[in-house]
Amino acid sequence: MEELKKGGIFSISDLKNVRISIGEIVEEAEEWEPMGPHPMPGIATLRNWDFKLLNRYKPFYAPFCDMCCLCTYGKCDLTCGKKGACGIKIDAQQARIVLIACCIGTAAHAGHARHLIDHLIEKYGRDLPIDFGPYIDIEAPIIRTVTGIRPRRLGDLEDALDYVEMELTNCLSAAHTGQEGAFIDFESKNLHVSMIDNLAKEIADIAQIEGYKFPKGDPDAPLVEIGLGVVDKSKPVVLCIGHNVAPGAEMVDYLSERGVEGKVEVCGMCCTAIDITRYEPRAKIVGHIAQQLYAIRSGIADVIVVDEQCVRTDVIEEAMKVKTPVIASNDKICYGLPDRTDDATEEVINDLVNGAPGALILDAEKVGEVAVEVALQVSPKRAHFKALPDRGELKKLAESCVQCDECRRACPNDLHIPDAMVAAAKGSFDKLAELYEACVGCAKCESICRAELSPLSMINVAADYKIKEEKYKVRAGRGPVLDTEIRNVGAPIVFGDIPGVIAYVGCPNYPKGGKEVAEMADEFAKRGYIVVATGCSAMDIARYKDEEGKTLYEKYTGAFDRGCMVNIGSCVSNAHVIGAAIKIAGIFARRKLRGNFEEIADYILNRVGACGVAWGAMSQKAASIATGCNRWGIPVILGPHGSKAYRRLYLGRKDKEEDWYAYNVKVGGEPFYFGPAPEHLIYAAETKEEAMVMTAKLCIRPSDNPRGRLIKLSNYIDLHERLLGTMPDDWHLFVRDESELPPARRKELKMELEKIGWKPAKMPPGKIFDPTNLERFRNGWK
Amino acid sequence: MVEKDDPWDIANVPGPRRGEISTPAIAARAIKDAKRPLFIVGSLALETEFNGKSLMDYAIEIAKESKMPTVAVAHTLKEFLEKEFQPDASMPIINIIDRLRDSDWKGVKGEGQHDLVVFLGVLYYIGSQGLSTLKHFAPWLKTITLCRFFYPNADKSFPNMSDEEWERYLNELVEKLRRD
Repeated sequence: MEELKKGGIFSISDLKNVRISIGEIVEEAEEWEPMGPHPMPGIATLRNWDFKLLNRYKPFYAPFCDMCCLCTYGKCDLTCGKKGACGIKIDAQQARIVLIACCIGTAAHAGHARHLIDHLIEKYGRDLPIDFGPYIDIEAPIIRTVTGIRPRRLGDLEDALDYVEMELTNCLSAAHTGQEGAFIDFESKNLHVSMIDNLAKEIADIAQIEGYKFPKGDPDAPLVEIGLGVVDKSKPVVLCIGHNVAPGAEMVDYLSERGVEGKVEVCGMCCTAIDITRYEPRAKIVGHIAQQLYAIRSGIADVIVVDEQCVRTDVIEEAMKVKTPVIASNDKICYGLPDRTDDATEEVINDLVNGAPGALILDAEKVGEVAVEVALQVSPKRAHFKALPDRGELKKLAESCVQCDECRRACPNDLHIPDAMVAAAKGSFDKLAELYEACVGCAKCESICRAELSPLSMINVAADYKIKEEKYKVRAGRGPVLDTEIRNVGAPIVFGDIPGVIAYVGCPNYPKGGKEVAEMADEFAKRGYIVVATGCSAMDIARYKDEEGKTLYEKYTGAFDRGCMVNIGSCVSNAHVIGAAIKIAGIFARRKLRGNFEEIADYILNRVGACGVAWGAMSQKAASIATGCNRWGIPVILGPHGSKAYRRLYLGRKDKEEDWYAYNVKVGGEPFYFGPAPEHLIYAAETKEEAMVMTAKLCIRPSDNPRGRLIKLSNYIDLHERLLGTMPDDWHLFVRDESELPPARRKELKMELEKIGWKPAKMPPGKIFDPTNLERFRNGWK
Repeated sequence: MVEKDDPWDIANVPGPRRGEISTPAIAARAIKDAKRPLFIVGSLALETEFNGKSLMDYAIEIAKESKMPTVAVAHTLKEFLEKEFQPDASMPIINIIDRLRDSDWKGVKGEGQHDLVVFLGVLYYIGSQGLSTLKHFAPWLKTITLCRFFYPNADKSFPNMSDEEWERYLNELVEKLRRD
């Protein structure tokens, strides 16, 4: 049988007393690339790699809760060294909670992928080819690298997804009471399940790109409308909320089949919106989770269709206030609604038109028809419904504020709502309107209000004049980066001539509003970095215009190139950001990808100056997205809110020289001090200014050539001087040779180096920096 | 109305162990008694004004009167320098907390790990998390906060109070540091 496993030949005539059972017939795997050492790694296969990372980037815990309340022995107080009833300590407990969060995030993407694949296989069959066109040969860099599978058809994605589900189950099981006990191994599992999350996202996005014919890496993907002000209220409006495009796409198809395209506004919130516009550019993006209450209470929607992820759990309650029927279209969100999937379509439409609050319909095609028909019939009856006070009432409402401060204390951003109420009680609503930008739309202020006020609705009314003008353009999510683009930018990225690839990703729990994300993106695009965005961040980048009235998507190119502003797509499209880094290894450096995670991650950590910025990270999905990036060697900066529920960072210590040695392959594989680059793997910044300086620093990589290091160092020093008022105190740690000093200041900086006794890195002449953290490559890349 | 020792972030109740309310006198005494105190000033110092005097002005007065080594976190360094005050270090709040949890770290002046950390103007929620790290993983260290919000994760914290009361507290603290 060993021969069988090795693919050898044996003679069946030799067998006696053997029963042969034929199960699934598997075609001989195509030898498209030699298999690497780690196809479909198990929960502990890449533990050594994780430990290498965690040895340099030590887990930093900031407990958000000092207790454990996961079993009936509890609550257990874990403060200051106390153990829980099961023996767990506070560090392991924090890592365990992060594991649970990362498993939830992964499950959300995996469940999403499973739903899409089942739906699309039912629609198009398993044999639908995966073909991303002439400019993309590496169609699935994560799937190839992690699983060793090269997906040719839609059905092939199921094999990768089966593996995702198995690993997810194993990882979540480790969080049970009395399983894993060491924080370091919890972290290894966090990294593992989050890599699995990356895989799930890639599976989901490939499936929908192919199934719905989304743009396949189109740099000129169309500009689409975005903003709370873009909805044409004179038409019936369907508002889709969530992340799964299936029902929205069916709506578009139904409108087309019925010949009434353009007569109904198909709009969306959150990533569903991004993905509907990838399918139909005439659809509109209203906003993201922070704006859901603003949109629903304004009464713009004649029908709301929810699918999955990041949908407010009180949508039914809110929709009922404005008499908007709700259709739940996915089994992950049923809201207690009656299951009408098998009921006659006409009957369901009738009920919703005549006042039923909602229906559960687990059939995307039927949702498409019902939503459109209900919108058409309900729209005339619903005109002018809204759940907001009149502007004339604001003053009187504000007068009833008792100034208890509890709204401010409940607000994630500590917004000074009581001060705004004082001003409003005097008839001035400007302070209320000013709060709109930084409001995260959670409505905790009204849940807690003793006077039963709704500060959120009052802000909505006060800022109405701004909200109406929210009309912007965002480029539709283009999906993957083209192989041809990677050929152009691979060398400049690895050598540092392009100073970095910065990805603005994730949710809108920003400390001071979304404008900060746009400002950061603008700064780095101007400086020639490759700037990409996904999800809520991609939306918020669009919501600000320059002096010429252009959004960043109109101002910069949509090609993956120096000084670009690229909308990659929705949450699941984050996979393409990691995919681009993998492709640099595969295309530019010709590294084998297949089943070869460790080598590729080592390559990215040391050579690809990419940095993620999740300025408003909020969800468990954001936790797994970020932690997944970390395992590939991509650092992530979180906004200040990221220090709370995530409660764990991976921090390097630049002051510990011993942490920053790796092997320099080209000079005999001896341990070599490469300097603290990248300094951290996951880190939370207090302010935008701090984050910008850190972003420039975290793009520095050991492999930078002297010219590339000069460019990166110049950007870091320049941003530090502009935003923090002086030279950074650690710039010398990144100088390996005098030629890396910015020419205009070389003399001055050289003198500074002499003062501190700096010595150039000992490199034999003509050699390049060729770092690896993997011992097996220390003497060569074979 | 809000109690003096409720967590300012209303639902952020960390657990059974919570810090005590501090007064300017208690804070001044703790600073004086500490062998190697450290003063951390965060981004709210750039945004908070009292009748013509900024929180940054108070931070500089406290630093000068107490002679505590001062760390400028977030992007406060620029404002410190513009006010002609040179902090002993500038680094992100996360980096300084990471070093403070390391018993082998030699402190910002290389004289040994600190035994007291005083926070002023750090964004509440990131400050609260940093204090949680120190509570759990730096048992050699005492923490005090001088903001107008009660921090249950600090060993000692000024109570929840109005801006007017806070201004009075800060004036009293500066006065006590100067006098003692």
